[in-house]
Amino acid sequence: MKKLLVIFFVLFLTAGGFVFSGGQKEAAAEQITLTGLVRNYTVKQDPPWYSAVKTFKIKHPNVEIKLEGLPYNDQRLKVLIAVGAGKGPDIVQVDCIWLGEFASNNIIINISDMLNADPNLKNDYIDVFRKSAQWQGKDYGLWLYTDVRMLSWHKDLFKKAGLDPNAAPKTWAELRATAKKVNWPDQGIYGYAFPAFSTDHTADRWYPFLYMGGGSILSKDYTKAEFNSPAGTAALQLLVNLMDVDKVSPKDLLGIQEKDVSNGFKADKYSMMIKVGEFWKDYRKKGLTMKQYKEKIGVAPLPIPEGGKPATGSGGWIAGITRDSKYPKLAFEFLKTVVATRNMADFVIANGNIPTRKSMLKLENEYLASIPYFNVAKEVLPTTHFRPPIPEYMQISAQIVDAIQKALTEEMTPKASLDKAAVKVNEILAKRKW
Amino acid sequence: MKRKPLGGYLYITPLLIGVILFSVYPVIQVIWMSFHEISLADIRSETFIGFRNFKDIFAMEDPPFISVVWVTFAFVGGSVLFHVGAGLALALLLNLGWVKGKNFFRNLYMLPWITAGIMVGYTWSFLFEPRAGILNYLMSLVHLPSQSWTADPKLALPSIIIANIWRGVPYSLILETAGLQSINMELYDAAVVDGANPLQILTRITLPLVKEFILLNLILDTGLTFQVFDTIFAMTAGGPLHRTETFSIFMYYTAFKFGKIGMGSAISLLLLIFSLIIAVIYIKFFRPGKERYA
Repeated sequence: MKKLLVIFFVLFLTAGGFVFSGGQKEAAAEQITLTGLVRNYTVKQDPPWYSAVKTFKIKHPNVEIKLEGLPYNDQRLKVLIAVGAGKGPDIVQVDCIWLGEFASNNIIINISDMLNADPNLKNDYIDVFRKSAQWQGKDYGLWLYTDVRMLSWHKDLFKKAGLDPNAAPKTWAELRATAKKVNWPDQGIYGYAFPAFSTDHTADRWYPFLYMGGGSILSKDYTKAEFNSPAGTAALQLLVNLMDVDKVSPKDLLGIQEKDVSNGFKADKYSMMIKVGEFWKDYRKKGLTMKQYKEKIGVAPLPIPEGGKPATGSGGWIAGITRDSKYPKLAFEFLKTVVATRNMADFVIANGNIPTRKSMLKLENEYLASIPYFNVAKEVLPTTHFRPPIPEYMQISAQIVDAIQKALTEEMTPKASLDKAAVKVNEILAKRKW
Repeated sequence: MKRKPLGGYLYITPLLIGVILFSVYPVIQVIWMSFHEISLADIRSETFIGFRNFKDIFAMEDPPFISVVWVTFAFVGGSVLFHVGAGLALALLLNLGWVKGKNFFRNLYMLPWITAGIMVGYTWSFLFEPRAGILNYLMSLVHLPSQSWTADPKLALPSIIIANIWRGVPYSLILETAGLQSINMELYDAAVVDGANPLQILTRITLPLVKEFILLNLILDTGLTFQVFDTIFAMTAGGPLHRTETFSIFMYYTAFKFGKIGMGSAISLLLLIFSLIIAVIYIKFFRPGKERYA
């Protein structure tokens, strides 16, 4: 009997060993490819993607990761068309304003279970960011990086006007008064620039002024327009005053793309402008040191109205997993490697963005040493707002841009144009399917 | 001896398959989609809605449909008129016997046509730039006030037409040159012997004989101009206040920005119908071959 048991045990071990070694061999041999559609500028440097690929491959040598970088307009279209055709990538980078469209149509999947399984990561996100990656209470992505709208100005042009180059206007009244002093239209230099072209940038740079007076774009449940409140009218009146009354913002802003407005600022054509801080990256490329940049460009929170409260707006990018992914858990594990504190901090420092997690903010000294406006960004970050992450946002934005342009071209008053746009937006929202 | 037609059909079969696959099928698909509600984010789910897409297009207020039609026709009309007129004038000039370096000039004039539309848009944006642009600089030399070309709702449309004229003239130049070179030179010799003056030669010989090329030019150029997208998108993106929003931009926004693929298809179908109507009008108006067979 003993002999029989020993033979059985040996046979069991041999068979088990064979099975397990065979299984391991199969797992080791299985080559997996994860694909990703991400923004083009993020693949021009090691962090966040390629550095994460190197780390990930140490643990998963059988996984190959293929990333394709796309320009802004192509990113959304290519993802939607690829997933619509059932050939979507595993990982996609999603602008925070697309979240509702992607989530409500199951283009990206609900990752709540996977995120809940990692409380360290889940609780590490600053609350406002985690919530803005949620659709109807479920998590649909991991925030990568953000930005905030701030006031930038040319210190040398302030000096030229006899102003303190380090003192930014703090109120709307001060903004108008300062803009008049740093306005030399005959020399092609205007006091203040903001985007007014037919794109979302125009609405996006107007929203902070709306928030400052206590206004909001939509109601909290995203079902009703609220941007035509007195706060909205006052915010739009400010832009009309700057362009049509004070003439410190040229009319040609209506025909210039946002990037060209920024280029105009860099070419000293505008003394001040509302911007998201990308200037630093450009100036650094030109060889400017941080000290030189700080001597040249001032950055401050946006001026607020009398009795208003500080506010700003943010954009930014979220990483999601598409419904076509055959390996969602593996894709999530890779994304965790991407958003790992050190990896993402390296990207934020290289790119001049703003972190979205508590552990990343602890590296404050590193950001302060390498991002010239980080102290201001950190100050305004708690007052930031996001655009509504609903599928109809692009239609809503188009109506708001129309309203802003109608007021700026003096075709309608700010109140009338916003009221008209609100009616349209309510019609759009009445047809929502969520 | 009568040939059996089957062999002929066999020869054209590959081309026929290509035409069906790449021309006929997409048109049928667009017609089918235009009667359905299809979302870009859920492209596989289609709901038949009859004529609702068309009804919604006609009822649209920002921009109103009539405004899109007006902008499109003004853009196409202005562009085609100058393309064909300037193309013919240049072709006539380069066809004159005493002009030296004809091939050089013909190749030089082709540069705008071979340049990508988006580059043309960006280039003209720089030329129209209110403060650094050359156009306002030239105007300042003759003491004219500078203009906000692409930002002014009244000037934005003329601005994109000018850019598109610059791009499209070479195409007409090549077509008209082909027409002029097909004319038998003996006709000109005979006219000169008969005492015809240059104007009579132009109106009695040249223009009647290149009429069919002009017709072809008009039809092709109208079709191409209806589809211009990248130049307008780069210069104005349809703004300000939709004053440069042609059918192609309107379709792009509807289908891809707002994700309404069904309605975008309906706009494409309307564009196709307008193009066909204009082609028929051109053909009726010119009646090719009338002189030959009358």
